[in-house]
Amino acid sequence: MMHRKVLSPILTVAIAFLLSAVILGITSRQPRETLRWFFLGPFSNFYFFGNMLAASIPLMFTGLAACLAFSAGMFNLGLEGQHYFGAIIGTIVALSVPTSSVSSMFLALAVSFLVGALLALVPMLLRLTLGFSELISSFMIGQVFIYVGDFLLNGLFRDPEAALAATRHLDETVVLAKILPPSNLHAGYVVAIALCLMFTVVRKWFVMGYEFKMVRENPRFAKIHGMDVERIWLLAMILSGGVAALGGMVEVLGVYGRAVKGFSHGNGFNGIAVSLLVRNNPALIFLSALFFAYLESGAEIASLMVQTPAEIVRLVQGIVFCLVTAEFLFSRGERDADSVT
Amino acid sequence: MRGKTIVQLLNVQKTFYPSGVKALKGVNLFLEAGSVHALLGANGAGKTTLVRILAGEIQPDAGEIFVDGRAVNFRTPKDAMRHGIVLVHQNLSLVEELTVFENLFLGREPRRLFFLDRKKAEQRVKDLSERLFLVALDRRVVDLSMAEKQKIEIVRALLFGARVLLLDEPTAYLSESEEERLFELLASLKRNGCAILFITHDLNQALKIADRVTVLREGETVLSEETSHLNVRQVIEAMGFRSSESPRVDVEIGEELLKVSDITLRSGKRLVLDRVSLSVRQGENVGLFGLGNDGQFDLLEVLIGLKKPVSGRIFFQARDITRLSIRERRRLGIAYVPKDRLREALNLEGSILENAMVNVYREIPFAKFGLLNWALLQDYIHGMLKEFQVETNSIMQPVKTLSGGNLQRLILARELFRGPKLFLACRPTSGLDAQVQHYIAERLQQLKSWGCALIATNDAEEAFGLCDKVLIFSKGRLKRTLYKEQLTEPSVLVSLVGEQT
Ligand SMILES: Nc1ncnc2c1ncn2[C@@H]1O[C@H](COP(=O)(O)OP(=O)(O)OP(=O)(O)O)[C@@H](O)[C@H]1O
Ligand SMILES: [Mg+2]
Repeated sequence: MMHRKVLSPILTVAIAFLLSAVILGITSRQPRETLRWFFLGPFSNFYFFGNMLAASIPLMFTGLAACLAFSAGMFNLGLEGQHYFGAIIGTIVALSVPTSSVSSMFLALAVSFLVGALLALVPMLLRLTLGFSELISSFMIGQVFIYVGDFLLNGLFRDPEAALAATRHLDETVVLAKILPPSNLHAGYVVAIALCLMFTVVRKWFVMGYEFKMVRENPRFAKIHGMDVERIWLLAMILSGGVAALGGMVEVLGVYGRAVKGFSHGNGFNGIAVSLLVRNNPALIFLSALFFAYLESGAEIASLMVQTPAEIVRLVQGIVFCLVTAEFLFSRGERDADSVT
Repeated sequence: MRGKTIVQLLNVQKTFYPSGVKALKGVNLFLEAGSVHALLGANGAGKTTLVRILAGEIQPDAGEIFVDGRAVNFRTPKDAMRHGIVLVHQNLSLVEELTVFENLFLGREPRRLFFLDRKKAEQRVKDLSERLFLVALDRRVVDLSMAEKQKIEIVRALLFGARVLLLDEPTAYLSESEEERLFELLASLKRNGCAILFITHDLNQALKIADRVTVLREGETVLSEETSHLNVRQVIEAMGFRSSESPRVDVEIGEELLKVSDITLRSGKRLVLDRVSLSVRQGENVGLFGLGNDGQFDLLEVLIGLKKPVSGRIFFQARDITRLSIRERRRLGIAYVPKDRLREALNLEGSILENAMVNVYREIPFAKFGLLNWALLQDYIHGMLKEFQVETNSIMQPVKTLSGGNLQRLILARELFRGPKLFLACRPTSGLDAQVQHYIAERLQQLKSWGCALIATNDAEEAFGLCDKVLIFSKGRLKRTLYKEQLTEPSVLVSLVGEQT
């Protein structure tokens, strides 16, 4: 038991690396060069390194979001939609309300949080009132709002001068500070780490953490001993959706400066894998997000340097996602038949 | 009538890690064909550990097991099953949503069953269930009584070809008449040459039913003897108990604490409680007795707020609490011990501490500004568990590592420690050894000087031992009240219920 707990994330990571290497090696015409860039590229200079860290920022947010829901025994499969749509609405509001730079940044963050929370709240209410599975409804609502987001970016709020579907740029002053210019790394990194640590502390030291754990492990026990299980579920989902959206907004504020169509490209779904890989331990989310970002930037750099198709990395991410979730489902499946009498 | 020795255990030892608890320090035991063997011992003596080893669920550190004279080494329950050894757990492992028939074949290779000899299998089930009076095969398990569920488990074991049947506290949740039926069943199995080992805390029962008795004490066999050579005193001494009478204190009856009027509860179409009214005063321990699941347990669920009645009102200290949440009711001083200990009273994934603190964690000084004071909680829980003699190495251990009886003690400790005004409990003393049963009885007597208790049970002995007044339930209706003077012996209850129905 002990061994499996520690070994299998490491095993998953190893398999992921191996598979990516094999796939890159096979598809490339210069396999040696490709692999070198894939593995060492992210460390070859500050620019690449900073970009890798930057790529892990949205994953930390969505990873934490998934972790928040899992912590109370809930599934939030609508992370992608919350991440994307929350950020779009946040950007639009910030663009249309003329205030000072700092307050419009906070306005954008607050609005995106609320929108994400709302998108996660609805499936939970459906479950509590009508008994729908939050797993399916959160996914469907999330997907619908990805399209609504696309629609907004293509239509009403599209910047007519832009070549791609995107809003106008936010004011120069309404962006998060860069940490390692010229790379993309920005202050959002610190925020993400701080949020993960905060939740780690809450889980261990706060009433809320204890209640989350009890509700996750045995909701009936929690209920009989006076916990308001439904309220805790709602809270977990609201926080989860809010944090996912916050991640999207931070990405807009830190990297793009505006909402661009498709900017989230799978961050939401990968968040689930990020959290599962470290068994929903918020203190380790930065590591597993970094791992995903490493795979992604390695492949990107390789494709830049040696002209291999960058889509390969999606394939690898897909495989890692399957590995991690399959493992999670299996370990849930093996019900403990231990007797306790 | 007694046959050859089927199973023999020699010097079996088991230490659990990481706690380092020596659960078994050298146990010897043999089981003969066509005999019933009772395994006795205080809570935590190692009884469950022993039968789990015999059933291949866990492996011993040392010692030998012989089946039919050959040394065996079981790695999984399947290995044990191949030799005809099957364990029926106290917490039955049936799937509630499935029918009886489906449950009987859970976990069996469907290949053999559904393609090759399905006809034959069905025939066997029919034979067996007719012989054992099993209920209709197409009923869903949720709707069955504890005794019927137990029987399904036994039939299932027999279908697997069991000839050594291990029963871990089979009577813990049965009523007297259900026990009778179980023992009849065991007797018939015995006549067919099965070896049966059952664990119990009821010495009289053990001496009556078993041919041979083995007593464990702190992981060692301290007594193994034919029942015909034994009396209760010897067994009690072997277990390390002082024999004692159950105490009964008389206190002034005080104000009315609980008043229930016209409670009606439905589950789907079924009427679970039919216009039940009652009143309990401070200083009264009231039993709610029914032969099976006659609504007495559901009434407690209504009182704590888990089930919503369709009509009726509940007053606690003259205050209407019908609409209050579970938390608010608990805050008023109502404590509750649910019937399903493993699924409702415990969080089996959690630690001992996490389970023990669930009623106090949100109160000052344990929580301030949402922050938990773990040091204080640990101190408090330590004291509480010590007072109720819950044996633990460390309260950070998973709660699963406690023995069955220690789990019960933990649950009772949690609810009783702070002296509730109204103590609601389902089967409070089942699974406890005699010593602790006695202790709980004492606590319940103390409780009378400031509060009252409602004890739902289907065990006449328990109702008789703990209560001053017993309300008799039958099919969701309150039939009759028996006062102290009328409670001369447990059988009165059983015979009265028979009259009523
Ligand atoms: N999985 C485990 N890990 C650690 N300790 C364990 C484990 N299972 C049992 N123990 C310990 O071994 C001892 C014997 O436990 P066991 O369950 O065999 O007792 P028991 O005789 O069945 O008692 P009861 O009458 O209370 O059911 C206890 O001290 C218990 O805490
Ligand atoms: Mg036991």
